[in-house]
Amino acid sequence: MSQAIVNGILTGGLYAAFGIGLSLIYGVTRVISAVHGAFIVIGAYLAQSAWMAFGLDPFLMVPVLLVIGFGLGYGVQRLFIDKVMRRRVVMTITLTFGLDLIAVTGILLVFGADLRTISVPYASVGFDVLGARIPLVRLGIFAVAVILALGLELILRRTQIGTTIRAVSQNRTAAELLGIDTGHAFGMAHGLAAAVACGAGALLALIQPLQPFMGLSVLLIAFAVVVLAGFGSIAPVLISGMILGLTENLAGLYIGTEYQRLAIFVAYLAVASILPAGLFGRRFYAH
Amino acid sequence: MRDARRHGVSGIATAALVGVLAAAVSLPAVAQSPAVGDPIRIGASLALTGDAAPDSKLVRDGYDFWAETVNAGGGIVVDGVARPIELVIRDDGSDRDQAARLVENLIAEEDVDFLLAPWGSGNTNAVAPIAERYQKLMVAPLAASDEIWEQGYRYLFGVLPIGSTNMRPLVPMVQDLGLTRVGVVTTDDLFPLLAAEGVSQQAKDAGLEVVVDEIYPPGTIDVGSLITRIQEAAPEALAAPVDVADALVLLRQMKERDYLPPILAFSGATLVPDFLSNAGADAEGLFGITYWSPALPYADALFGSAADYAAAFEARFGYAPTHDNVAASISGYALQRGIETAGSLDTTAVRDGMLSLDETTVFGQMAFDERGVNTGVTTYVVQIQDGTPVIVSPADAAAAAPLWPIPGWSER
Amino acid sequence: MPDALLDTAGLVTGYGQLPVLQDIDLRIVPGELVGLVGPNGAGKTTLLQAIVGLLPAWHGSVSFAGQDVTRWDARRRARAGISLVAEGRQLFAGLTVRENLTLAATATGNAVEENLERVLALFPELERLLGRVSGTMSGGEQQMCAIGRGLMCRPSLLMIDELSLGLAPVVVDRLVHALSQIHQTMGITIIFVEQDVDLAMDTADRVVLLGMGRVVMDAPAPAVRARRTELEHTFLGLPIDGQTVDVIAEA
Repeated sequence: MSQAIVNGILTGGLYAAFGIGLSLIYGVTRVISAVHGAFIVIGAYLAQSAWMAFGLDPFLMVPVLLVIGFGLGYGVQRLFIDKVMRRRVVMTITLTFGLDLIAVTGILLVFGADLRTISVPYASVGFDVLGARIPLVRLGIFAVAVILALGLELILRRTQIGTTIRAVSQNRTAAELLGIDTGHAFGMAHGLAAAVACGAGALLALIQPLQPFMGLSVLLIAFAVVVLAGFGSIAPVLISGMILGLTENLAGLYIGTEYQRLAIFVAYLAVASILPAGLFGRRFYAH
Repeated sequence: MRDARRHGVSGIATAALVGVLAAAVSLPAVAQSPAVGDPIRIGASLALTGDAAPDSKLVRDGYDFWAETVNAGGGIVVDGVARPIELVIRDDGSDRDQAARLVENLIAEEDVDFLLAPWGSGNTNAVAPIAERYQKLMVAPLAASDEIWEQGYRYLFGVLPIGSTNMRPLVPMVQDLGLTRVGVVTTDDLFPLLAAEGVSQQAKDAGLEVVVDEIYPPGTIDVGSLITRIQEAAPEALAAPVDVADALVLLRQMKERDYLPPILAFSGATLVPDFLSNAGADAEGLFGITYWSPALPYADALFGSAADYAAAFEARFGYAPTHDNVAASISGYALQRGIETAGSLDTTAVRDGMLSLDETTVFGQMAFDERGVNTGVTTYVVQIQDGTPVIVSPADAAAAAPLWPIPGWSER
Repeated sequence: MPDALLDTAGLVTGYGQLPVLQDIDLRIVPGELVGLVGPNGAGKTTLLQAIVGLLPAWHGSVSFAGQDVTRWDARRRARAGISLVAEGRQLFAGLTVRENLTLAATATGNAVEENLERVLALFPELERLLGRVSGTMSGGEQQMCAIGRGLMCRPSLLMIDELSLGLAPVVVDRLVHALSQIHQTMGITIIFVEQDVDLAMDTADRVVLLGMGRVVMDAPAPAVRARRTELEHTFLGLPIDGQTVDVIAEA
């Protein structure tokens, strides 16, 4: 039991990091971005490559990935999503799915289809607390994921660009009337979201073998987290991630491992149908 | 010439012209014997991309190696004409529906003469009905699921024994070691489930206690609760017939938890190069299942000995072949022997030819029963010892004794 | 005659296929305080949107401070000094008053502290509300915040859509007082849209009457007051005798 709770919370932190960017993008641009999983996978592959080529620890790669992810997100927003943002949902989803396909194909061409993993020397280091094993790697992943989430929150709440992003998300026309470069603000928002996704990719690479097509299952988890949290809110995303992690682990332990993934999506559907605004029913910076 | 059928009269005229020119150009070569004929076209849909790509690559390399070896010798001689092999391989992206469409296309549009199957039971199951409908012979290298062979397919052959027998040799080995508590965990997929059921049943029949028996979704990111269950049940030997990616996740997270059962056996995954390269030193001591090893005294007319096969294959592809590679090569070879026996490309004749085979290959004995299952193959338990897979059971073929318990993570 | 601050020539625009403004010629010189009146659907909001750049001109041109700004987007016009307090205030409801104000200054490249002081001097009421989330304030407070935000952009032309709509008389008085301060002390040219014609005539120097997308009357406030009947006709949709009244102030 205590082990399942520890696992759930530790994994939940990572799930939250998957979801946070998606939530931000939707909150600000109203675009449901199917390309988000690709940012995570790209981050994972780059972390793995840096590990292979230079022996660089994935945790140390996170800052680099934040920069790369930011650039990717900003570019994708300005070059592609900007053009269809005010169009129907079908258009934006089609576009982002198309971008995802391109990204996956690119990953395949660059990295090939072979499985890739990272095996850090401290993989088996950990300590026991109250009968539960806390692996060091997992603790590190959790800590970095939470730092990424809180960092994003801080940027949105405390900085000039954060205020601008929130303003643009609330009233685009008013923002334009004030001379705000809304395209730039949307780009910044997507950049920040993709930065966190890319950074979280390095964390994923520490626990899962990489395959070019893994983005979809990651994206589904991100969606589940965000639906649970309510689109456009950030702190609840952290809690939702952990709820999902716990659901998965406790279901695995008490109902059966064959139902653990199902449990995530049952929770997702239940919340989506009973509480459409998410478990927390409020939004920090969206409408 | 094949194209002429589809392009009407002008097509035929063009083709005839091209044919005359070609004959004129190739005149000097006619003196050689046997005459070189049109290639035999053999189609396959493989997952060159997607989840199944790492496993499918082994199959592709196996097919290629067979075709290249045959072609290096001039081809398959049919009716006094040496006909080279032309493989027509399409990528289904690990999508079974796409695989079915591609196979239909290979038959109806690309006019292949025979088919080789995709990797794995699930994929083979998806394309077998198409081959059956068009009455095309298809040989499957790695379709070990029991139920495929209960469907009454007339045109499907498989070179592996059925899957439920896959991990059974583990049971006598565990018994010989004096162990009584075993566990079985697997993913919710065709072959893994069968292999798990088979070994679980065999263990119970042998009087062993199955203390944990778990199924979980393939591709699970967090197998923490599964490991908790295993730890609590504390099996002395754990069988996990999962694919390479899932095996890596399980091994990785066991390491995080600083846990390892005294005996841990994956199925074929233990021997897949992708697994070994990614697991690195963590693979040391792991058990696995194989139908083949280069050290076995097998041989045939095409490839020479098992050791010859291994050496030539490694020279060509840069890695030591596993039984997946050999099974793929032997699938082609089975088809080849059927054609040679029949002396024609006629599907019924080749099928009869294959059913009549009973001979040794680099893969061991090859003899198909009425279902199309190869009943000649022997199954071995291997263990990674000092970085190399060695056969540890059954005793008469063993190159070394099984070492157990596997050294714990802190002892490495 | 001084150079015009704003000059629209033959301006035509609308929504989708539907033209709303027909051939608007409007010339405003620095220092004017203009009341824009007219019945619902006359095109008042449309005109402000066209001036500020939210709606593209179909025909004609818009010049501001001697530059042709017809092809400029709203952002560029805002930075050039055109500020619109849009209908419904359009505050960033989830942001605090301070964030609303600050953002306007930084987005247009203006100093925050200096302009904030100026706005707080005009609306001391906002001082204690700086930390409030703007969406939770009363209508009057929101209007003050919105006008303050407009001023943070350091405009030379401030436009206010629906100055008094939905506000209590005492609040309206307060705003009118602020408007004259902005006009006189800060020297900012103002165009405001007002439903209450009498309020517009009392507050403005010049009144522009729109009807059916055209300028129906354009005259100094006293002259308009003298022709109040015609105004009522316009509001009731009745024809006015003779030609469109086109009285440019002789002054």
